[in-house]
Amino acid sequence: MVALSDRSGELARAALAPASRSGRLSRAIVAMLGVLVLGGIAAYGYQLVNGLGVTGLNDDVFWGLYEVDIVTLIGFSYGGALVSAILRLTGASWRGPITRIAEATALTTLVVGAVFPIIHLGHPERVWRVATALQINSPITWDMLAIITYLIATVILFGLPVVADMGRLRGEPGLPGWKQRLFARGSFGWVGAEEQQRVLNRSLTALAIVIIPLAVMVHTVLAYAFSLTSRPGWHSTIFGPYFVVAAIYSGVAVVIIVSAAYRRAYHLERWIPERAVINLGYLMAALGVLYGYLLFTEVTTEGYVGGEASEKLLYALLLDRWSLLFWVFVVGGLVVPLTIIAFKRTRTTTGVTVAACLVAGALLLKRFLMFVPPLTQPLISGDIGAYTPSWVELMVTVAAIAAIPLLLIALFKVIPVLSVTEIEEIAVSRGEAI
Amino acid sequence: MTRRRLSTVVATVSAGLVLLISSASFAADKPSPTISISLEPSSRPEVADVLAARLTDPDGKPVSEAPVEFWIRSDLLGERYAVLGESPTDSSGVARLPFISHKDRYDVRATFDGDETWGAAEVVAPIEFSSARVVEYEATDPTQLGPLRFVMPRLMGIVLGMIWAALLGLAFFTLRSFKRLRPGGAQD
Repeated sequence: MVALSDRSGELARAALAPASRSGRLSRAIVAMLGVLVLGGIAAYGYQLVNGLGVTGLNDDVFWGLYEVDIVTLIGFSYGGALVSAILRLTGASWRGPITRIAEATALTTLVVGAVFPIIHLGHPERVWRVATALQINSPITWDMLAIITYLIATVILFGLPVVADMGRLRGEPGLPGWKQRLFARGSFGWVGAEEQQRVLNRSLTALAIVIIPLAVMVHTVLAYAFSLTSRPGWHSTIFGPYFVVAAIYSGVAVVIIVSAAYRRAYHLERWIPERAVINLGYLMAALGVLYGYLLFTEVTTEGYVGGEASEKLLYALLLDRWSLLFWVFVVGGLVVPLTIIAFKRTRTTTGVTVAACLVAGALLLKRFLMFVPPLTQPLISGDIGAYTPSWVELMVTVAAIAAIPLLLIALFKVIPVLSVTEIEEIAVSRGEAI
Repeated sequence: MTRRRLSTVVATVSAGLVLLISSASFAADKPSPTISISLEPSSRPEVADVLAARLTDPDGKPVSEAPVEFWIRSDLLGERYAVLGESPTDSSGVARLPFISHKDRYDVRATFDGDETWGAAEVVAPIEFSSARVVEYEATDPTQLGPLRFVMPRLMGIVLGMIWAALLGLAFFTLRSFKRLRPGGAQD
């Protein structure tokens, strides 16, 4: 019993490690991320003053890097929440140390991604017109409502286990006074009683059941903004599932990256075992195969019918103008990551993390290839369009990517990085020492 | 070295300013033609009305081969002028643009940006259209699925409202249960 209690204490200390420890390196990383975010804010300010003309957008390519960022970041988010929900529902015993990181990643990427529609509006006050001049038949309206719905579900999925952990850790020695008061207030009377645990599990199961179809629906609605147009390359029934699978694929990759980073930085190897990272790698590989199949289906169905506009687009994508980027995606986003996970020698925490980094970057590139080349093809007549992101768009994008780890660092300065209650509960249910 | 660079920059900026000022004064020296706008009888009234802008020099002679842009005042994301199109003036100094009216009155604007001979000119005038000539907008729906356009979004709104209520209800009742189920109850 004493040993169990000691291990429980170790777990609590490990969960609070990011909040209590901050070395010179972590301060340097925070400063660097802060500078990047400030640079992005300054670039946005420049855009606000000078208008959207400072972007690379034009009459042909009216959606560019900002839309790529929206879909990519919200995709990361759906992936994070779905991983957590699926692992909960399937009762995967290795989920304990992963769920908190997955849910926090889902929340931060969603918050950052949801800013981009406002950035692309040019004038942020125009958001007001979306509400006051609501077009109920517009896919954009439903996109907005879908994102808000998903935000509510993600906050609750993230928040309920945090409430339990606040109750569990509020008396932890070494906790600063303000945090003790915060945990006491935020625990809503949680003391870990059997009945409370039962209610929490029931609510989380219900939420997991709701969030899976919700995430599928929400990301399908995001695909409507493209597929409900008559533009070749966008107007495709495959776009819905394509978006969903891409979201989970890249989302799992980001969860792996964040888990591996915290595991390494705070020496959480005992609590986030290599097995958990490799299992996530297997999940990512399965989704990669599925995504590769959908890509194959998209190209073959469009190419087989051979409509004039689709054929031109496919030619530009596979063999001509965009082919370098396309094949970089295929190799970097599918072939190499799957090969890394296929071989036991490379299937390590480092190997899986490298594969995940490749997938996350490649999926950003894939979204660019999904949105920009179709816009460069003239619908009626005229020259082929062109688009190169401007320095403003690039700086804002880099700032958004930097904002995600910055928000995660800030979040885990306050709340535990590991879901202590869940890890303990899984251990008890399996009759294991923690 | 630095001084030479500085003097190059100063010389370039001065030259630019001189060029700018001289071109501005050159533009200001050019006389502007007079522009007027009216509604002309159309040779094909079954198709469209014709907006006509007449450009004349200070002596009343027509200005030909001058591009004229036509605009109407509209309310699209706020009041503004929306461009209708551009047409060059003919030998009698008249630029014409076919126009189908959807209201019986428009504030029509005609602009000439100027060229190497003439300065810019602009006019805004209210143009009245015969109510018999006004083509009303009609909501058309070529598909038999038209009624779904009304029903579907509202149905989706109801479902979405139920989802929001369920999610928020779940969070509320779970947190309330924590308080209620703690040993000793919710008395403190």
